Parts: sequence; structure tokens; C-alpha cells
Amino acid sequence: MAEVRLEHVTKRFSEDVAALDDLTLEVADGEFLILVGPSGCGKTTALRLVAGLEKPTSGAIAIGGRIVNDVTPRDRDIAMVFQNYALYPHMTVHRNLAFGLKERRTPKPEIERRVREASAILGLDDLLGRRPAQLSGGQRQRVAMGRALVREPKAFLLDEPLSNLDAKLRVQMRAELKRIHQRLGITTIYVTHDQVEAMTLGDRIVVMSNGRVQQIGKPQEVYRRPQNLFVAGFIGSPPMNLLRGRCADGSIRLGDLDLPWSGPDAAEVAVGFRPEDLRPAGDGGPSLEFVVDVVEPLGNEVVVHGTTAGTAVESGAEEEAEIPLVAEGARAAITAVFAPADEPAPGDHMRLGIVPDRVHLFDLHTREAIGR
Amino acid sequence: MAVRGANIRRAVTSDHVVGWAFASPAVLLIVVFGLIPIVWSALLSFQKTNLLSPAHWVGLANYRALPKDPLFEQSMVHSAIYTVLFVPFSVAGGLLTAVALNRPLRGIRIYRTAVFVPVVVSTIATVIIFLWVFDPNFGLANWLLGKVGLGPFAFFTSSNGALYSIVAMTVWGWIGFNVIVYLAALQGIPRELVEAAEIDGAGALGIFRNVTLPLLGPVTLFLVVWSSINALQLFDEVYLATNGGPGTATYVPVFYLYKLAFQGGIAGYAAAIAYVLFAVILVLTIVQLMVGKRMVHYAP
Ligand SMILES: Nc1ncnc2c1ncn2[C@@H]1O[C@H](COP(=O)(O)OP(=O)(O)OP(=O)(O)O)[C@@H](O)[C@H]1O
Ligand SMILES: [Mg+2]
Repeated sequence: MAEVRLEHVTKRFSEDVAALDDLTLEVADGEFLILVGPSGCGKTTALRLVAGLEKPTSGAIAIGGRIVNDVTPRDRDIAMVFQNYALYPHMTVHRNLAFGLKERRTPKPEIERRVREASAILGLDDLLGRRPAQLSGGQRQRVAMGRALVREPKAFLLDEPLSNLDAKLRVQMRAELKRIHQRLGITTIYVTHDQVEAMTLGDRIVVMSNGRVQQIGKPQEVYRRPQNLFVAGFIGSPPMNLLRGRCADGSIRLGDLDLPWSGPDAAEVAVGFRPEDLRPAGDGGPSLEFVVDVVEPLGNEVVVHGTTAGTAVESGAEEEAEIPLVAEGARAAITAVFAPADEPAPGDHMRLGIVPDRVHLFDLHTREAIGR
Repeated sequence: MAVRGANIRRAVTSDHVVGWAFASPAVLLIVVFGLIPIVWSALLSFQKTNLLSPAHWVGLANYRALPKDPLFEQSMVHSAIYTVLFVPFSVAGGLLTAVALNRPLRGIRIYRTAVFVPVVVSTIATVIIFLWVFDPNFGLANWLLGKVGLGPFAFFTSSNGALYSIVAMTVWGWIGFNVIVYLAALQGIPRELVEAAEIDGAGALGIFRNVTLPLLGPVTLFLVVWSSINALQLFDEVYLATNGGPGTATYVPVFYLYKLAFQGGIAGYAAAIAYVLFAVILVLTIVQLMVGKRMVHYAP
């Protein structure tokens, strides 16, 4: 086990664009660190650099206190689980698990012991004689984990290991991964697209965009206090509502909403509020006019899409293909999450109550959060 | 009448008829140049004929005569030696060359093209080149071997060396084909598998032995079967380079039966040789496929 450090690491595949731009990151011994970010932001590149499959253009990578820039993957003593598992198709599960140990000249009884142990943890005992082609997706995923486990490496690198599984299996494997990490405490870097994995699995998450770190912190901290517009828009599902507002004369004004403001006058800001912080307005308190457009009852909650007077702000984390649900001139689309009892009907006109403490403010020019 | 008309129309426009219509040119070619000669030579092998005067049936006499024919035995032995050398050298050589060329070197396309050129060069040109290179007195080969203190060798004109010279020449001419097939297969090996093996701690040799080679299994089996068939049917190079000589040193079955049928006028006996050779090829191929099936892993 060991800590992993990346210091000012830049990776360019071509002259003009950097897949990773000055990445500095420290993963503590035994920590479970999550890398999240949109497609193409450099997550896989970061893992491959740590694994030694790619050389950094500049910067240093250290594992267990040793600079490994010039060390081959073989001698870095890390294990990696690839997104598509990369199991050896011509070997049985047993040989897949044992291969790394055999190549490292581990004594036979020791190989046997570790394979038994890993297959017991992962429930692979009955599958040891099969080939990867004879396994289900979930079983392959477990074999890929097993191949990493038997090695007892300094660190695990996992590249979206659950992305090929169906929703139910994902929930199950997520819990299993957490259990394995609690049990073995091996330093882990885990790449994912998935909000839930990011929020639940990691000790800390690193939000990346365009090869740069946007924010590093505990999951709850990143969720509660996003440092910039990108993180605000990226973390959370459905994403945070972001609207153009004006701070002046002790209040933040946005449409017909008026929130108290004690900071200096700033011309224009982005005002953000999470869908679950919006409620049908009771009496008193600040509120926002809202027209219901689409209602999605999910059982334990109701997702309500609609519009309010105002202008939406783009966070930069939107999916490219996102189609605005409503795009009329002066109205902005917003989303709220209600309790099932509050389910509205499409076309309803209502007011949404907002708790002033739960409102996020961002500078429209620097795109950074404004403290209050 | 109306009913019959409809039936005919349905029959003519059905997929069946249309399908055969599209296939008919190919079927015709296969029947005329494949099926008819196969059946005809089968009949010939039971006859005594010189293809010109009327034939008469001799039963199994042609086949019975074969084991007592020393030239036939010699041809088969030469063919066996040739195949046992040609197949491993061209397949293993093709593999090693492909691995060497499967990397991002500067000008790699030029090397790849160069390796493939001999395949598209006609046999006659290949033979002319090798008659030069292997010329006992002025050839490049003896000149080079002389530099390291070997030779001179007589090559095509030596009764001990002629067959091996043909092996060398045909390997040179064929290897490019195997290289191209292996290169294509190497590109098809998922990069992550090699990377996974690297991370698992395998060295270059370990990766080659445990990942690359097994994944090339199906292609290797194909190339072994394919080059074995070609090796057993060797003819052009012998005909052009040595004409079976010196003496009968490079007689192989197809060359021998050609001599018999078209120069000796003993077509029935020649057809029997052709059928024995066919049986040998068939059995060898079946054995190779059966052994291969156990050794080769096919990716899902
Ligand atoms: N071998 C390569 N050659 C050239 N460009 C590359 C290479 N590998 C990655 N890139 C580029 O580097 C950037 C980061 O890629 P990377 O694979 O790290 O993204 P990612 O965050 O893992 O994305 P995803 O979530 O889609 O897997 C992308 O713009 C990609 O096109
Ligand atoms: Mg990726």
C-alpha cells in the first residue's frame, strides 16, 4: 500500500490541446479517490499515466514516495481494472487470476492461496474453470476485480468498472466494491461518470473538466459548496438550476424573487438552487413564480420541470445533446423535486419557496463561487 | 388458365429462381473448370489412355502400380521434405517479420510494401531472380557466403542442394502473404490485453508467448493448412528453376504427373497420382484441423 502523487502533470497527445493540464493530486495511503468529469476530460489519461501506460509530457508521478516517471508498468506494482475488463479470452478464470502472480514468479502454493482467497471474496469459486466468454457481465467484472486483488498491489486503478453493467447489478457491485475497500484498505483511484458512484463510494472526489481540476473535496462538501459554475452544474442529478440575477441595494433580484444580500454590489451574478431545495411555497418567505410543464413521478419523489421568468446560465457541464424543455424568450427552464404528496399537474401556476441559505451565487465573469 | 399463369409467375419471380439466376455464372465456372475435370480425372485414373487414342478400362491397375514406382516414391519423399521445411519457415518467418513490422517506425509502410512485393511478382520473375542470385559462379549468394568463408555452393545445380534452394526461393516468394495476414491479425489484438499483461508484470517475451501467440492461433492454423496445401501442390517453381533436376533431385508429385501425362502420354497413371495426392492433402488437412481445434482458442 502506498500514497500516489501527481505533481503538475501535463499530458499532450498533440501540440495544441492538453488532455491533462497541470494536474496536481495527492491520494493518501488507503484512500478511495474518485475522478469524475464529462467525457474526454482526461480521466482515463490520468489513470494511464499512473499505471505507466502513458508518459507525462511534463510533471512528476510518485507512488509510495518514489518518483516513477521512468518506471515501467510492470515495476510500478499497481493493478488496473479496465473499462471493458480486458480479461485474457483464451485463459480460464483461474489462469486469468494467476497470470500476474506467475509472471512475477510467485511460488505455486502462494499463488494457489491467493487465488482461493480472492475467489472466495468475490464468489468466483464455481467459475474458476470457465473462460471469459462463458461468463455474464457481472461475473466478468468480478474476475477483473479478482485479477487486481490477487496481486495485493500498492494501488488499484479502476476505470469505470461498473459502466457495462445493468442498473441492478451496478447497485450490488457498488456495495461489494465498498466492502472490499473497507476490508483491504488499498489505495484506490476510481474513474466514473456516475453521480451516485461518485457521491457514495469515495472518501474524496475530484471533479475534472478539459484536463483541469475544478474542485477536490469530500463528496458532501463538493455537493454543498461547489467552487465554480462547472462543478455546480456537473454534480447533482437533476442538476442545479442556474439563473441570471442582480445584486444591488442589499438584495439579490431575480425575476420577482427578492433575497437578502449583505455583500458588495455586483452587477450580474448566477444564482443557483438545487431542485430538492425548492418546495411549493407556504405563507411568507421568498418565493419564485413557476409554471409546471412536465411531471415525472418516481415513487419516492416527483421531478417537476417548468419555467420561471428569467434567463438561464450555462454551467459548461451540460450534455451536448441536451434539448431545452422550454425555450421561450424571457422564460428559463428550471427543475424542482417535490415530495409525492405535492405532485402538481402540468399547466399549474404556482410559487416555489426558496430557503435563502441554500442559494448559491457565482460571479458571471470569473465563474467562481461568491461567498456570503 | 388464370390459375396456371399465376403459378408460373410465382415460380419465376420466387426468391429461389432469382437466387439461382444470380449464382449461375459462378456455378457454371465451377462446374466447367472444377467439377468436370475432377470427375473426368477420376475416370481417367481407372483407364489406360494417352488422351489421344481411345482409352480402355484397367480397373485398379494404375493404383496398384504406384507403390512399385521408385520415381513416385522419390517424388513423395521430396514433397514431404519440402512441406516440412516450407511450412514452418514461411509461417514462423511470416510471424516474426510481422511482429517486427507491427510498430510505428518511420517509413514502416515502405517496409511492409517491400515485404509484400514478392507475393505479387510473377513466379517466372522470382525464378529468374533466384537463378541469378544462386548462380554457382557469379551469384550474389555465393559472393556473400564467400565473405564469411562459406561455399561456394552449386544450389539449383547440386543434387543435394536443389530442393533446399527451392525451399529458400519459395519461402522468399510466399512469406509476404503470411506477413500481411499476421499483420492484420496483430492489429486486431485488443491493445488493453497487452497493457493488462504489462501491468500484470509480463515482459515482452511473456506477453508474446501468453497473449499474442494464443490470440493468433486461428490465423496460424489457417496459414499452416493453407501453406501445407500449397506446398504439396508445388509445381511452377520446380518446372521453371530446375525442371525436376538435376536428374530427378527435385521431382515432386505434381511435376511428375505433369511429365507423365503431357510428355509421356500416360494420362491414366498420372490421374491416379493426382488422386493419391488429393487423398494425402485431404487427410493431412483433416488431421491439422482436428489437432488445431484442440490447441486453438477462438475469440467469442
Ligand atoms: N492516444 C491518444 N491520442 C490522441 N488523443 C488522445 C489519446 N487518448 C486520449 N486522447 C484525448 O485526450 C482527451 C482525454 O481523453 P480520456 O480518454 O482521458 O478522456 P476520459 O475522461 O477518460 O473520457 P471518457 O469518459 O469518455 O472515457 C480526449 O480529448 C481524447 O480525445
Ligand atoms: Mg475514459
